[in-house]
Amino acid sequence: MEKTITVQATVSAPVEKIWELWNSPEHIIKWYAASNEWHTPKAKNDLRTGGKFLYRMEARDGSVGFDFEGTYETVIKYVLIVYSIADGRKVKIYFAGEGGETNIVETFEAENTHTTEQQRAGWQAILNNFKKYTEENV
Amino acid sequence: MNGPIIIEQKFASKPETVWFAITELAKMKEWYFPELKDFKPEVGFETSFTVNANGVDYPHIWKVTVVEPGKKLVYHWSYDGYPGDSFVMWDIIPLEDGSTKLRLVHSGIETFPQDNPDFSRESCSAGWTFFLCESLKKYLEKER
Repeated sequence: MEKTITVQATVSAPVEKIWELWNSPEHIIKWYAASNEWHTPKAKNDLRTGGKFLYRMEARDGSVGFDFEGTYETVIKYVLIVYSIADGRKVKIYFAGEGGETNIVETFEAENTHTTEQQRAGWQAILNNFKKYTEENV
Repeated sequence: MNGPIIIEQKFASKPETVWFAITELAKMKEWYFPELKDFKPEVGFETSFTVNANGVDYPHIWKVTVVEPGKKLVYHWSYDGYPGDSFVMWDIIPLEDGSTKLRLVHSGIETFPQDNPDFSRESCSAGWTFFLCESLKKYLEKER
């Protein structure tokens, strides 16, 4: 059993809005980044069972970049997304909306290059960025 | 109305009893689909079985995509020979008094051919209400 890491955020927006901003490429390129030094200049997203996504992540100074790619295994609108990253690791994202707020819980299988703490901090930073972007755009 | 069907039902049984009722083949055949041939709560498990409804054979294909033992089960649900892409998710919610709430979410029903009344939201909703609120409820009461 792979080690899994969980990050979590409560966002002040209804789940319908969350779903749209989480999944539309025109929004993804604006919030998908762990820090100000990074950005996602390009995103493709085919959100359906068996569909693929590709987020191009690059350092803002252009020094380094990589493709973050995966395949969707489960898509339950407004409730649950499961995908596997190109390296085989699984990611689950639960959405629970109630009274204009949405709780997002994301669990992912750890990789072996970075420490657990580094990985948790990185994913949490992206999630926090999503929260900030969404709450500014509701 | 395009959202998923969501049905919640409370049972006097313990959470693990409800979990086994929705994941063990012999139990599932009793209250759910007698036609079911095989089932394992394992990610990647796939099974197919045919159910006759209103004189038409519908070949069901299930593929398990999420298993959190005792808590959550998700399978992809489609029909051979028909377009459509749906998921059924079961959540077991333990209650303080030792009883159990079961939540069912069926999403993607609108992707099945909507000119066939057997695939309509009303038909699916009635089916799930029967399964959870009558059939499974009676089965679990008998098992106690």
